[in-house]
Amino acid sequence: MFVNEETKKDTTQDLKKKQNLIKIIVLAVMVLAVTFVAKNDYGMYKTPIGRVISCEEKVTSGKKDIEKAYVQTLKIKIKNTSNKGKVITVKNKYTQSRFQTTGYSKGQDVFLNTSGSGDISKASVQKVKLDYITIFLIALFIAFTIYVAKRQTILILLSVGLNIVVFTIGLNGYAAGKNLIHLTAILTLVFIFATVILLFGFSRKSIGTIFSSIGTVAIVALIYAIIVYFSPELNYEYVPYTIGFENIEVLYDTGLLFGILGAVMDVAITINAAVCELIRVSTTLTMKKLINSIQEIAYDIMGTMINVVFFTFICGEIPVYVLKMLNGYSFIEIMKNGEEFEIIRFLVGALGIVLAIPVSGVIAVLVNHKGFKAKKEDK
Amino acid sequence: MIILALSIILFLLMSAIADERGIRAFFAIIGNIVLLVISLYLFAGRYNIYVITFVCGILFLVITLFAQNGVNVKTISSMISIAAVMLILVVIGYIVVNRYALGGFGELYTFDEDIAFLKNRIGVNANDLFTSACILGGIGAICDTALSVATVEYEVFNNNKDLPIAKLIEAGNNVGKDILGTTINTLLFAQFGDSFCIWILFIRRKYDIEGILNSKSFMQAMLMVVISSIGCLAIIPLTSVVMANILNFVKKSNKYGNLEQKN
Repeated sequence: MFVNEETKKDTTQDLKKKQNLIKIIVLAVMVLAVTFVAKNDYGMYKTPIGRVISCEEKVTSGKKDIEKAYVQTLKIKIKNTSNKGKVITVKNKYTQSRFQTTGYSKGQDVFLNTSGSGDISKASVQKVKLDYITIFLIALFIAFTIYVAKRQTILILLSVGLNIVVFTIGLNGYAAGKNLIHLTAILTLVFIFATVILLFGFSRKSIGTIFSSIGTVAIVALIYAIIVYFSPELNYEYVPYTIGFENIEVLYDTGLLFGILGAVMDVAITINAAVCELIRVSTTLTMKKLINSIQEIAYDIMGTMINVVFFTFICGEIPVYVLKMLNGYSFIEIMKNGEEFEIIRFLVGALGIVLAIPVSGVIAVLVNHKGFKAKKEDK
Repeated sequence: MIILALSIILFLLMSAIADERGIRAFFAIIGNIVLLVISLYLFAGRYNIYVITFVCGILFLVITLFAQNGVNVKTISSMISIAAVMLILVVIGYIVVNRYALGGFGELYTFDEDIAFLKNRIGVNANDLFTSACILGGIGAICDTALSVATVEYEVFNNNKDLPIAKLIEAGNNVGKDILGTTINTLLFAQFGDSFCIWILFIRRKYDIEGILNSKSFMQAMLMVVISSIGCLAIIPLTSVVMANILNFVKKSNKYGNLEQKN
């Protein structure tokens, strides 16, 4: 009897492992299949696309040049349009720094530019084809969510989808330049609401998180607005990707606000979840104990969350910093001439995280008021 | 002015809300900024970018983990696993960024005015810089995840010293899975806020789906989130295993009385 039970346990565990393995294989196959289809979608493009089948390189710079320059002789086989199958030879120049030039390699799919004449033999290489990577990443994300979260997968994907839809509708409003402040307020509310409800369902926790996030963002926005009002005007022309816009300041402020939403929601959910759990589990609880516990959690998460925003915001601009420094600017000069925007993003993010702690604590206690009172009286 | 005002308010709030730990965290940030400036000068000195990235990454971790959270089992095991993950990310980043030429100026960046005034043949490989930016950008999130996993495993171990290694690892993995969602959410929103204007440009310039999918600017924005997410994903099992093994080793040598936080 004993032996039979042991083997039964083994077989159910084996079965689980097998099911797991099958799941992984099926998901992997689906991801690869989608990527394969995307890689071979040449027919969907009107621009000529080719694959580099050989690449010869020669150095054209002298020993005294700061950096090496190269000339590539590429043999490219056309993959679409009426010239399909033809092999053309294209010359490509690039330099070691590769900021504005690109070095191509064998096996890459590239877009070709026939510059008006339509003559394929006079084409030049425009850029690398990237769509299948994006599709691969999206498919991987979905597959991974399905594997890890199972039941919550649909919720997470819906939440992301809803955010994207709302965002696209809002974007058109921004692009048209109308009522930007109202739009920002509405979008912020919708993002917070959609993300929290769809990720954590309807519960005291979620409601507390939503109000905590809204409260924190409102306070941060107020503090930031006051500081900006009393400070000399920033040089908003330096904000990247804003060429040709009229209302750059509002766009920057909006980007600022959206950027800190994630961090604020993270802190809010942590504290709200903890307070709910404490009130639910403890037999007796005093306000002092509760505040103590919240402070303990604050110690732990504050440092690491602030580091998350520090590295994410500031390190993203490293290539531009180095570029400007090698053009003769010192670090202080770079900061005064346009790169301060990332530091401001970081500081506002850190402010949001730090403020989220007391705000979430207060709101969590208010939302759980009944439960807390009950525990207090039990003493 | 704005930066100064924000910094002062931040310092006041941090010390008010988290007392001594808050002040320590504030100075850790200052330490990180100083280290960042040094690493920028090193990059500009045209030394090997990957070596600088790895070394500075480790130093960032030293400041963030040890100066802020003290030297203890949790921070040491986090450090080991993060170093390992960084190596993996350097390899992945190198292959992907070079293969798809993702460094340098995306097509939308070239419309900006200040680029016209900057000489960009500077002798430093933009692909390497971009990889470095993605990896250093992810350190914060990876560190956060690692420390959370290690902390929970430590607490579980403290309450239950006879737990077998497998159960410890399982506990760590469960915590990691729970916080992965909010961490990736934070990263996504942070990147979205940064690249907000790119999206508006996509609409204004009437990009179609094919244009967006093939856009280098778009891929650049995505890649940072992707590399950070891969890092966060990989760090969870790694930290679980490393931490569990260290705790087991310590238990076997009967020295766990000395594991109290040296704060």
